[in-house]
Amino acid sequence: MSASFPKQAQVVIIGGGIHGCSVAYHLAKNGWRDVVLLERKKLTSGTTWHAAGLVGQLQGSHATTAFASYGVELLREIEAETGLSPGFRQNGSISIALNQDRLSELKRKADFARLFGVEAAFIETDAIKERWPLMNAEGVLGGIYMPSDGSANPTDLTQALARGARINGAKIFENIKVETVLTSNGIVTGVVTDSGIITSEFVVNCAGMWARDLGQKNGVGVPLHACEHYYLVTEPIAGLPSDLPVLRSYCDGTYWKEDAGKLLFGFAHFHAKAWSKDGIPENFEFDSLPFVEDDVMEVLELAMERVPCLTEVGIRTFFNGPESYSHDGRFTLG
Amino acid sequence: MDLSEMDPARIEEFQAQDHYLQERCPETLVLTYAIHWPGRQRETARGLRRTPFYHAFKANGAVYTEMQGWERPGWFAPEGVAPVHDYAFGKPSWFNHAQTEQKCARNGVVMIDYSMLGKHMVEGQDAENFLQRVFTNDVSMPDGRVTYSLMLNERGGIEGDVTIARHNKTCFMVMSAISHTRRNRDHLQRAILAGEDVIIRDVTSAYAVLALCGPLSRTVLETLVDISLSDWDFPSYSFQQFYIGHAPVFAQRLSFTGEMGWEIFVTPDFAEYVFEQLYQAGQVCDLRLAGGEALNALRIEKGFVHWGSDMAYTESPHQIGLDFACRPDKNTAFIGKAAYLARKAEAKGPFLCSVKLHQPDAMLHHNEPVLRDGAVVGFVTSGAFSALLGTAIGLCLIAPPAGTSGNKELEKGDFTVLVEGRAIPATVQRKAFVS
Repeated sequence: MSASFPKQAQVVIIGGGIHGCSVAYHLAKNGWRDVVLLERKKLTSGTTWHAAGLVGQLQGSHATTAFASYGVELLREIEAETGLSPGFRQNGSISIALNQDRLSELKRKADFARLFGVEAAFIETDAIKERWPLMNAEGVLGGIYMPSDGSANPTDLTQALARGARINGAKIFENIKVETVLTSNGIVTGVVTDSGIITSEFVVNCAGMWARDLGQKNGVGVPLHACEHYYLVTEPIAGLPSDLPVLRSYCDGTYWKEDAGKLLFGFAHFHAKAWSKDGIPENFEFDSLPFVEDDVMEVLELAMERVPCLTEVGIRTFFNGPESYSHDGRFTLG
Repeated sequence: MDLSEMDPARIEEFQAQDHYLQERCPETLVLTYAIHWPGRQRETARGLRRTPFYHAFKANGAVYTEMQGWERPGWFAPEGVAPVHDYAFGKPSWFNHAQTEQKCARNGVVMIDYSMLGKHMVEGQDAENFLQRVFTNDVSMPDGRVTYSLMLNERGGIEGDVTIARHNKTCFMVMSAISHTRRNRDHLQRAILAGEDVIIRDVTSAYAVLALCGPLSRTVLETLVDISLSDWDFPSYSFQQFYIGHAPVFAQRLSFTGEMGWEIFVTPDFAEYVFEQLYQAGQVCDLRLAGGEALNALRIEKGFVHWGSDMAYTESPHQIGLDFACRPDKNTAFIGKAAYLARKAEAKGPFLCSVKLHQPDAMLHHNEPVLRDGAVVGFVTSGAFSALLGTAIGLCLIAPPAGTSGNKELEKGDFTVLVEGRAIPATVQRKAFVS
């Protein structure tokens, strides 16, 4: 146990993923004193480390769109503040439609983006083909181009947020497991960890896929469950431009981004599976899940039709990792 | 910033259990890239909460949509029409059936299942004082009266809206929208002071509720009751206990459709019997069953608001046109009174207005930008297609013209609404389109 391990704090944040580090950064920066973040293993080791890192502002609600457009601001500024680059590349994004209904949806989302001053414009198929030469344009009715979208490195961004939090006085502890949250008459009083008790005025549950279990111990329902989520990374593709926009083909269920000379593509599954129904293994850390080919064949075939060079380029990484999803697709905050 | 969509209080206990999440969360992943249709329904974990009218309504063509686990009729399929709830950004296949339900509510009589609305009994020696403090309207009313009221936070923002019926000296019933039952219960529970004699009981499932509404509603109800339903004997915003046939019921006279109507409360044991009595009695007046789709259009026509869509805890009553529900002059100061009065005096926008499109082929759902003289000034908070007006209508939150304050010059300028990239000419006005 570290000698400097605190006995009390104004706020304890549980979980050292991108959410926990962001909460620590923003609280510390806004003048909160005694901000303590506790991570059971290493920062990002749960689900953050394998996130695809897409930065998309075409969101469904006012709050999520406002968050996403603030996120872009933060990504632009965090390096100057912390000296750590979040790997933000503002290559833009293109969302394509394969049918009229999808086109209506995309146009409605572009209308909505105008409320936030986020640039989003209809783009003809020919122009998409020009920006994304590897795409098979068959059946594409056009799309929405968003120049201020892009991608970032989730691990690097998390480390930058953690450093920013520390610069502003927050204390971050790794390899500390929170056992329970202490309460008195329904009010939080602190946390019990495997290294001692910390009393605190506030506790923030940023435990991601562990948040449900943690909440249950205090009778607090957190509607999150881990689900299996796949992505693949190709072998290097000669001449792949590094400023390739992120491509989303919702109808094919696929997103695409350039990743160090390779293509990373992932899926919104047509059939998804909940993971860890019997609990998350105690030693889970930077772990991935078995890749079951049958689970992705349907979307993989569509992906190969949309980007035909996949039939020639090999796949370097078949990845399956857990990600948390809520019961209604919304955040839980408040 | 309005984060009400993310509020943990939206989650009912059963929605945080492992079995529920193991069905629902993978569906969330599947739906991330699916088309986000207006009113898109979940397919997992359905049929969880059914009202006592579920089977009776289903036998009459109800097509169900889900809210907080409740199965709620969205619209009714006439004989020979498949009860399939499909989706469209334009007009879905069931569009005309829901339009017919709207017309029946305005011209005849309809019946709507309200059983899933949140119902809380607030009881105790201090119940009146408690409600006077928590709610903006005056509840020191005679037994048998009903009022519409808001609860505010200390910033003067609207935390919820309900109807309150005074059952007797120490007993009130507070009625909430379906999605805010837990939220309102939590809010009330937290507001009880130490030593205050107030008990809050959730009686949501203890009563089934039928809303009988439309200009012919009285004609139908009269044939089944021994009491007078005249405006004099049973005025708007009043409440009485009586019998429908053999069944003891109580009813409050008001309707979210804006028409004459009664919300009839009955215990589950008598519920199906009461439904049969009303349905049979209604046949001479061509009574139809109506669903949530029609109700939404009807309430928008009248300018009636829905918390979470048209307002949330960020908005003050003066912005939404709800000053009528605030009584700062009553003896007990309500929570948020000072902030409310300060915000009202400051008269800052945006303000809620009604909006109507001039082209019948464009549809309003939610979030479409509203432009004044070509510049974005707000957005549609709720939208529907009005059968009465033959065009898409909505409510919208819009800012007053630059350099003006208050809502006096709100209607100035040429308005358009952006729908799928097209700027559709529109009328924006403070008054509801249907009075």
